[in-house]
Amino acid sequence: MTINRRDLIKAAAAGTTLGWLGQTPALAQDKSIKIISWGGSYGEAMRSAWMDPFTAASGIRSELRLQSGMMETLASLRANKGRIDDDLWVTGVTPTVLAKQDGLLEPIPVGQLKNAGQLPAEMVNETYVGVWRLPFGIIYNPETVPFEITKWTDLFDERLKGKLTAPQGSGYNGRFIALLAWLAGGDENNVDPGFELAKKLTPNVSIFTSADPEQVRLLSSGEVDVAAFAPVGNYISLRKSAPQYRFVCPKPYIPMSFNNIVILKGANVAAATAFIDFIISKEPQEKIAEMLGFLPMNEQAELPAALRELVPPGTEVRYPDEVAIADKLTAWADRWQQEIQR
Amino acid sequence: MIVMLRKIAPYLLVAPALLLIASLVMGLSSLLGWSFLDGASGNVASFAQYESLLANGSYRHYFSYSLWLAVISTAIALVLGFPVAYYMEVVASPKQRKIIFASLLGIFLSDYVLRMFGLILILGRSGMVNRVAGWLGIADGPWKLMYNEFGVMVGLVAGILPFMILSLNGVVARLDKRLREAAALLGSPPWRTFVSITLPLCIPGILAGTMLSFLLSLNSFVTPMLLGGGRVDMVAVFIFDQAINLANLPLGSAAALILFLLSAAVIIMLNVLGDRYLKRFQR
Repeated sequence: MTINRRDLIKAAAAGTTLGWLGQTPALAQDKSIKIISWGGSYGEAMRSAWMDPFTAASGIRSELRLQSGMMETLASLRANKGRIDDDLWVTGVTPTVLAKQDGLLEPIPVGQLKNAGQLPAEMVNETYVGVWRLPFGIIYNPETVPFEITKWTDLFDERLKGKLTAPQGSGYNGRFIALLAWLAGGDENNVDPGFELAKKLTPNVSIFTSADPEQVRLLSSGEVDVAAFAPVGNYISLRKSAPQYRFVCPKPYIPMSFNNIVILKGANVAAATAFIDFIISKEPQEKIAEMLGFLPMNEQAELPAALRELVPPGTEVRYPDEVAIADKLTAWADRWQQEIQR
Repeated sequence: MIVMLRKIAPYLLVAPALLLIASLVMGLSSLLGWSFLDGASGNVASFAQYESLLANGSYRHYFSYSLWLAVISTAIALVLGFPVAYYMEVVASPKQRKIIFASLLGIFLSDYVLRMFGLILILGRSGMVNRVAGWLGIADGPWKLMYNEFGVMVGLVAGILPFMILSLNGVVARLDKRLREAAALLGSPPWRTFVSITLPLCIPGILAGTMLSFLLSLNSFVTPMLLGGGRVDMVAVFIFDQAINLANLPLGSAAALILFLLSAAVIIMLNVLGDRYLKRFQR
């Protein structure tokens, strides 16, 4: 028997239909939720501090769906709009704002969050709930850097020529660009001074990175001596293999960012809300902060001892206007590539 | 039952391949659809992404620079690969040929990412070359051999060289050595024999190796990502950045389709050149 062209076309069409059917969402189950978040140490910490205790307390099973980057997930959610079968997404404000604009989110029933009062008021709203705070500073190797770094402007010192790694334009969702703008007298709505300042930094930058593991690898392998902008979590990962490195909260202030959780369109809202309420309570907040080196969002939660040393009480912090950044990030990244990286 | 099985067997055999092809076609058509949307999350059909890619000098730079890197790396691989292929088939003893072939096979079997990391270990700031240079006292500080255009060029050439050598090796192996012997008997010096006989006979292999190497270089992602330090603007990295880091699928899709068309144009051009050459040669 032979297969003619018509048979082949029929079979291909059947295959295509099957492939499409495979993309339709599974039916939501009342007693389970799917959470998109990072894997690795994040995933382990989330399972241990949040998911397993939540299942034990509520009987609702939770499944972790891994993401490698927040914007990558946003791209995937956009591509699968109307067919999303996940319930919750741990992300940042910039992707949240963009996802909301695209109609990818369900409103959070804030009134049902019993623990909401323990969080700063601005961290709880119908769009998102803050889950942890991330302080950014400088990581450097005191054995190869000839002076003590204490302030952001030290990064421009000519003795650091070729020793730095800095984020790419889209790295950390543009927070480094925002910081440079602040330091140069601008802000999120006027980044021109920040770009002028960045041009003075380029002789010192050897490599522009786009991901946390890359930054940690470059430092641990000795390819660079200074990470110009790093979340404290990177330092905690790094010091296991390279204890000589130091983390500093430079003067005059450190950018403080946060991650948040959102409910995705078509989610099991009741179970998702119960999960959010659980993870913002004191104990899960303390546990995840301890495991990941983040600052808890719950104001009643204790700060982990290790973090008290790295981010001493009284450190001046400043929150980027991430809503303003969200609309401009693509333009900033293009400009950064053109004027700074190239 | 047996008759039934005989009837459906061919369908069962081709079904996995067809499903795979259908998925690829679906992916490409979805990419095509996204490229005609007007914004990162737009719903309006337009040519905005293509207009943006063509009008913006910075975006055009990604394509011209990638083409330039692909041309240079392919030329270097050809210049480096031809002597190896020639040596393998014409000069080397059977034992030496086996050793070279085994080395090439080893490269093919090793992971591409690991090979690029290997280059970092050799050429990086704390790599072998810089350590030896420091030890010999011939460098004041570490040489910048990685995370720049030079590093990416080394990576691209290292990545495509085995493909070039094996493509060339196929044609060199089929050369009739009596032609070279006849030329020598007629008093032709070796360089003249090479230029007038060996090289023209190797053109089909050169075209095949060039096509393969050029396309691999042009579409390269891992090499500029790992060895470029964010400073080497190749199109694949731009597509990744737009589609993944900035969630701008329409622009990333449009760039991917232009890259696809560029690759197709190169294949067609080299095929036409090859056909013309063969026709001329056959006359």
